Amino acid sequence: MEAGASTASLVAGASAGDRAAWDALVGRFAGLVWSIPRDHGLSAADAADVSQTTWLRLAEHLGRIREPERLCAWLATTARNESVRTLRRAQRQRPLDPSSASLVREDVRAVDSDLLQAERDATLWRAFEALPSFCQVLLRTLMSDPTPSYADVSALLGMPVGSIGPNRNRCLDRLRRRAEFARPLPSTRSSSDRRVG
Amino acid sequence: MTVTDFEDDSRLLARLAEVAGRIDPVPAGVIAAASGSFTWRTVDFELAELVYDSVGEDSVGERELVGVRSESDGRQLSFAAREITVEMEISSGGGMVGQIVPPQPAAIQIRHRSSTTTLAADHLGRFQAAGLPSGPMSMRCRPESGAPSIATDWVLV
Repeated sequence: MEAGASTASLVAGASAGDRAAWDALVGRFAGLVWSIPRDHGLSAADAADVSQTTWLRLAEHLGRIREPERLCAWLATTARNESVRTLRRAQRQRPLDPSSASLVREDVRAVDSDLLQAERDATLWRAFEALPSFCQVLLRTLMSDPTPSYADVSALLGMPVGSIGPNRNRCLDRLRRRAEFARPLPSTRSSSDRRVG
Repeated sequence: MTVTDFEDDSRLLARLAEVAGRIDPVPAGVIAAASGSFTWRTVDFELAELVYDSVGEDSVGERELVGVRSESDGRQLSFAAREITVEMEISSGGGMVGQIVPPQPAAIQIRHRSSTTTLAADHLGRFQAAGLPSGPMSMRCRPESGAPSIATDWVLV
């Protein structure tokens, strides 16, 4: 039942002690929760802490989520707050250390590894990582599966529903320009009329 | 994939999702920890929610601005249940001092990722600990008066 179950019914099931419902929630949203600290530039170790804290907190809050169908926004907001706190703690404790592990996203997982099937994937990813954090979080949210509603995205990012579409287009345009600027163009294209966002 | 794939927003987003899953997948250990969080539920404790964190999104600057406890570099946290509030300050070295309000003796258990610290609050509700591990943390508090036991929100310290 989990694959097609609504998020609200999974929350209700998990709240009543159904382990399978909980695992279905984890399967559905673990990627989103993981991506948020990563998009804030946190290391894998710090992102793992943020992720675990977020899930532990949800486990205690299951019966109190006011709008279970908006769990996506609840998780993303919690992960974002913990990410920001982690960054601030790191800045407080190591204000002058540029090699701070928490602040420097390791480049090891960058480009020329076996993980990459093609250089253009790496180019696209580099372009994504060069986007402002706001765009990274917005695009990651929109690309999560199942796709969240605009109401969820609105609650998460605190932007009016009507501005999500334009912001999405603006962020994708920036991504597109960066990705294409960074690689040789095999053919001409007509993007010259696109405006800088 | 051809360059024209980039022209269409939906295809670009789908492409990005595919690349993200390959380059920065969720580590198996992170998924296991998320799954395992379910077993940490404490349904028989009343939840004390995090109501103040000096390392909040906006509160740090405000605190410094008004000079409240500005000489301290510790992190102040407040958790509120219906009848009990827990105030604590955690230093960067893993030290903790705190107080239960209203003041009362209680048995305290601090849960960490893979260990537990046991403490007692004195008749004024005061407690302290040292050398707490970093990572997710939650405190359970069982008042000697027999008042309802509480468990705080998990926080990352």
